[in-house]
This record gives sequence, C-alpha cells and structure tokens, in this order.
Amino acid sequence: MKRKKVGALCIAIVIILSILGGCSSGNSEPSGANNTNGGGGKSAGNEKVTLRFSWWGGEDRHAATLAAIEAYKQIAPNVTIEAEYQGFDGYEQKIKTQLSGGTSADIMQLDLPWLQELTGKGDFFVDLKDQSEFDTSGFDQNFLSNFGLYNGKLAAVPTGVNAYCMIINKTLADQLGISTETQWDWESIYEAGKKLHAEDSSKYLLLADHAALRQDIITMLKQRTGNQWVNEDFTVGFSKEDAVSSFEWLQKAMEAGVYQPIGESDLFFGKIDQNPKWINQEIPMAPSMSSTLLSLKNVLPEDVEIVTGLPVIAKDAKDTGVLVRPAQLFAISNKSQHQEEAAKFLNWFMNDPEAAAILGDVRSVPPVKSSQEAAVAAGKIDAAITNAVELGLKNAGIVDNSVANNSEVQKVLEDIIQKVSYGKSTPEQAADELISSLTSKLEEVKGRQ
Amino acid sequence: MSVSNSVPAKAQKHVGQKIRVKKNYQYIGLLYIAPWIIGLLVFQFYPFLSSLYYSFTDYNMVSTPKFIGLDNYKKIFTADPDFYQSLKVTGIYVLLAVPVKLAFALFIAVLLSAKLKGINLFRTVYYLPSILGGSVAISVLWRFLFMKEGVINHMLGYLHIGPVDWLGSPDVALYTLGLLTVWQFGSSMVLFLAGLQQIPNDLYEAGSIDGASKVRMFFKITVPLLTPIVLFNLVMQMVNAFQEFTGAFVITNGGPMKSTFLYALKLYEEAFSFFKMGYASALSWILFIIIMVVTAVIFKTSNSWVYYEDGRG
Repeated sequence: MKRKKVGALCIAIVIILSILGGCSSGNSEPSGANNTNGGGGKSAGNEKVTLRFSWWGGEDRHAATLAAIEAYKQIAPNVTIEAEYQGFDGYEQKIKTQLSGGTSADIMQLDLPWLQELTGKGDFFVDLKDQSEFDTSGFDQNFLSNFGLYNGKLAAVPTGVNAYCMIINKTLADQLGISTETQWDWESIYEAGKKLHAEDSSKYLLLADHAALRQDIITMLKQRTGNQWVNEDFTVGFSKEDAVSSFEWLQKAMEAGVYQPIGESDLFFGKIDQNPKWINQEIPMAPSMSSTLLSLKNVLPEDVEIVTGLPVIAKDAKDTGVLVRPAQLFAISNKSQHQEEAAKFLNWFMNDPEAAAILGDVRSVPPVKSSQEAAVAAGKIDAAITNAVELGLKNAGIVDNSVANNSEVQKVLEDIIQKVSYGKSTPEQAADELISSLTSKLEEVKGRQ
Repeated sequence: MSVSNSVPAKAQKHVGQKIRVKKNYQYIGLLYIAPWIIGLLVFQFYPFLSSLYYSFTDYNMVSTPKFIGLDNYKKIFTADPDFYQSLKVTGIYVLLAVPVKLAFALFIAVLLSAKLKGINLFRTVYYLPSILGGSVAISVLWRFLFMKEGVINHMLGYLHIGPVDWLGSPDVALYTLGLLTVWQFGSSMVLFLAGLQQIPNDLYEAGSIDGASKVRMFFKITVPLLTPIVLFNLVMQMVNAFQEFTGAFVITNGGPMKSTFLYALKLYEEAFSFFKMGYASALSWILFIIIMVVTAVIFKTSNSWVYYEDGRG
C-alpha cells in the first residue's frame, strides 16, 4: 500500500517536473549562451554561435534563402543559422507575440507598417549604425533613412525595392488588342475596361482585391491633392470634393466591369494569384506591388509573357502617387545574444555578390547597387521587375507617413470602398461617411499614441 | 436525529479510519490527475482570469498595459457600429444554423437507425464530414465549390439554374456558410442515434397495436424520449455556433460588406489585426456573458419541454 503510494507520488512528480521543464526549456538556452558570450564580442571568432532567422514568403523565397544560409556555412563555419519561415498568414501575429515575450528570432523580416508601429511603442531593435560589421554604404541613403531610420536609430534595413506598378499579361493583352505601351490615365483605363467587358462579359481589365482597390483610391486622392491622404498630425488630407470624384470614378468603373466584381475577387484577398480569372487568362492586368509579380507569373503557362508599366496616373496629377517602398525590412532583435554575429550575417546577406546571386529577386530588386548588379549578372532578376522598380524610382510620389500605413485607418477606407463597389452608397454619401469616420478614427489613434 | 449520535463509540472509530483511508485515496487520485489540473490552471484558468484583467486595460502586446477601467466596455457599446453588426450576423447565424443542423442530424439519425445490412458503413460515411470538421482545408474546398465559377454553379448550369453568387452576394453568403456547419452534423447525429437505440421497442409495439401511424409515433414517442439529447445537442451546438470562426475567416473573411462578419471575426480583428488586446478581451467577456445567459435561458425553459423517463421532466 505504502509502496504504491510512493510510486504514484514519484510518477506524479516526474510528470509535473517534465511539464515545468518543458515550459522553461525555452529560456535555459539563451541564459547559457549569455555566459559564454560574457567576454564580449571579441571571443566570437571560433565559438559556436546559433542565430535564428525568421521570414515569410513563398516557395521561391524559402528555397533561395535556405540556399544562401547553406552558403554562409562556408563563410562562417562556426555560425549555425536556424531558419524559421512560413507564409504571410499569421506571421505578423507570431512576430508581435515573440517580441512582446522577448523570444523573437535574432534576425527578422518585418513589414513596413509593423516597423513603424513597433518603433513608436518600444525599443526592440539594434541600431544598425552602431554595428561596425554592417556596411550601409551600398544603400541608397535616402531610401535607407526614409524607411529604416526611427528616432535617430537605424532600426531596420530594406530587403528590396518594391514599386507600385501595372503587371500586364502581355500575351493576353496582345490578343485582346490592349496596348501595353500606353501610359494609362483614369479616363483611358475606364474606356478600355468598359470596352473589354462589353465585348466579352467574362473578361475584366483589372484584377484587384479590396486592398488593391484601396491603393487605387489612395493613389487617385494623392494625384488630385498632391498630398498625403491622411496627414502626420492625424487630420484628413483631402476634401469632400476629392473623395466624391474618386468614388464617382470607382462607381462607374465597377458598373462598367473595369474591375472584376469585388464579391468574386475578394474571395482571393491577399492571394490574388489564386484568382481563377487571372489563372484562366480572362483578366490581363493587375495594379499591384512589383513583389507580387513572381507569384502572378508562376501560375501562368511558361510561354506567357509578363511585362510591367507605370500604374494609372491622372493627366493633371499634382503628385504621381507612385508608391515606392521597401519590399520588407530586416531588423536585429536587441534581445539577441549575438548581435555582432547577426550583423555580420546580415551584412553578408545584403552586400555580398555571392549572396545576391543566390537570392536574386526573391525579395524584389536588391537595394544595394552592387548586389543588384551581381544578381542581374547571374540572370536572377526578372527584367519585368527591374523595369517596374526603375520606372517607380524615376516617377516616385510622396512617401507614405506612418498614419497612412495604420491598419485601422486603412480599414475605414476599405469598408467604404466596399459600400461604393456594391452600390450600397452613393459617392456623395460615401464621401461624407469617409470623412466623418476617418476623422474620429484618426482622433482615436492619436489619443493612443 | 443526527447520525453520529446513533453510532456506538467503537464503530465511530472504525468509521473515522475509513474516512482517513478514503481521504488518502483522494490525495493519490489528485496526484494522478495533477498534470491535467496543472494544465487547466495554467492554460485555462490563468488566461481566463487574466483576460478579465486585460479587459480593463489598454493592453496592446508591446507596451505595458495601463488600467483604464470600463473604457473598453463603454466604447464597445457606444462607439463601435461593427460590434452591433457582428452581433446581428452572429445572432442570425446561431438562430439559423443550430436548428437546421439539429433537425438534419435527427433526420439522418432516424434513417440510420434502420436495421439494414451494412448500416455501420453508412453510419461511418455520414460521420466523416464531422471528422474533417471545421478545418481550414474544408473551408478552402467550400470556397472553390461555391465561388461564382465553382462546381456547384457548374452543375446548376446543366439544370439551367443560376449562376448564383453564393459567396459574393451580401444577401446569400451567410447562408452558404451556414450550410457548411449543417454539413458537419455528425457529432449531434451520433448522439441522436445512441438516444434512438435507448427507446424501448415495446412503446412502438404498443403504438402500432393502437393503430398509430409512423409519423404519429415519431412525434409522440421518439421525439419526447429524445428531448434530453435534444437539450444537450442544442446547448453544445449553440455554444459552438456563437464562437464560429474558421469558415467565415477562411472563405469570406467577414465579407462581402460584413455580411459574414461573425463575432469571433470581430474579436480576432481587434486582437490580431489591430493588436488591441484589452479591447478584444472585453469583447470576449461580453461573448462569454451572452453565451452564459442564453444557456441559462435554455436550461430554464427545458423544464417545460424536456421529458425524462424517470419522471423528472
């Protein structure tokens, strides 16, 4: 009886300990690593170092990044890079949870809006200017400071240059008699879209989910006003007339079938490359970021030619509204035990020609000139992407402020765009609602800063 | 008269010993289930209570939470139209999906209680959708079935019907999602099936001797004797339906025009798109209270419609 009891107690204790052990094992490693690194960065020569590197992406990006990590083993045999990669869905949640819990990877890929938000709320990232191992001289300094510099610190570096452009299925466009050389304005694209849909009701000119529609409306507003659509001081950057005319265009474009109806296209929100209309080649053009080109191209047969052009620009535009921004950014966690090694790896990843040749355009066009040249020489950059980025840089519009990238603020516009697209609001009503909702949302966001 | 007074002293001692032994057994039992208890405390009870605390703060995951009293709740009720929209959508969804699902489950259960050759195979096959369940893969499949150029419309095309905009129309999308839930009737059906086997055959024999029709016997014998199971299924399915998430998230993402913006999606959006964890915690507590109240109401009314064979009903 007694023996049994003791036995049971032992079993219970073992189970409890193993559970507790399981919980805490995550912490034991870094503290151990801390001790070994106690002598400072100097000892980092041959010492075994493990770095965690997290990113999101598609198959191409995963394969190329893993190949680059493999190649880095030759450069620094003592460094092991643990890859943590996944698709875009859920990545933001994971990163923010990890950052708040202090368990993020040493090197992480971030999206611009999150970076703007995170740097406003806390201190999470290493100032890369302090890292002598990291060479920033190859970057376009304006691009670097516009997007990487927060509170005087270089919190992150762009992974690639991403430009808003028109991605065109040239093979299909030629068949349909749609010019791929035209610089579209809002009237000409409306006429072309209307004509196409009237001739064949299964076809639409433009592929867009509600996020792309939002981008189109913002572009239109910027071109009208020459200003941000929401200002840095949390006020609305356009007048009611601007909104009415933009929504009027949207309403008539939706009615004429310039865009695929949003109820159909939004089933593929965030994954427009899976839209059957695009895959079956019933839609020839997609206004989108250049970084989506590869996935849009990969779903089409090999002999289909994809080209790029500038997005729609109004004839009398005060600003082109062409968005040029980092595809993503890389940051190093300031909780990392091996910041110097992490900076060394990141330096190699961004600046080394060999790395650039492996990575190619998986994060759009490299932001470092020499890396870009190396990737082009290796034949690893799609000419259409280079074209989009070059056009974008040449015609770049004003840089979005962080308020404009706030997901709650964008949501307000998206909701109202849906109402107009479904014909549930007139442009007049929608403009009124947009301005009042936006004003109160901006105030709320401001109050939380 | 109390019990202890009537027991002689010697016997009392004996009883005391017995109780001690019993206590020890309980102690060991507790140890055996300790892993589960710890799991419950750490992974359920702690988050449960901390979410209550967070609902009174402006927690956003990256900065330290600040106590703001009832502000979150005030804002939800006074300044958040999406809250009411999501409540409305969820209400319709629950009122629609739960009864239809239960009726369908009962219908299939009655069919499957027939004594046929190979009936077990049929039972297995009909349970399959529930195993596949509310998974992401099934939701993606649902999207491809019901999209404008999907399989369903294609087949309807042969009958010269449609095409119906199953998922793209704000008036239809919620019902299409409801269908997905109804399709997962398996777990309710299994319970109904078990309940049907419990009903004594002599009742039906008596019924048929008295000349009752099949339909009459179903409503006068089967249904009353199944009401305890109906109650259980109703509560469980209602609780699940209030928290429905996967289908609406994967297939329509709350659209079109927020017509499928279920409460769980609203909660998810606040928590994981906007990272307003405090606000989302408040939302989750409101949902918790709503479910508690509805459950209580169902239990209260059950006195008048649930029939227990032992006469408690």
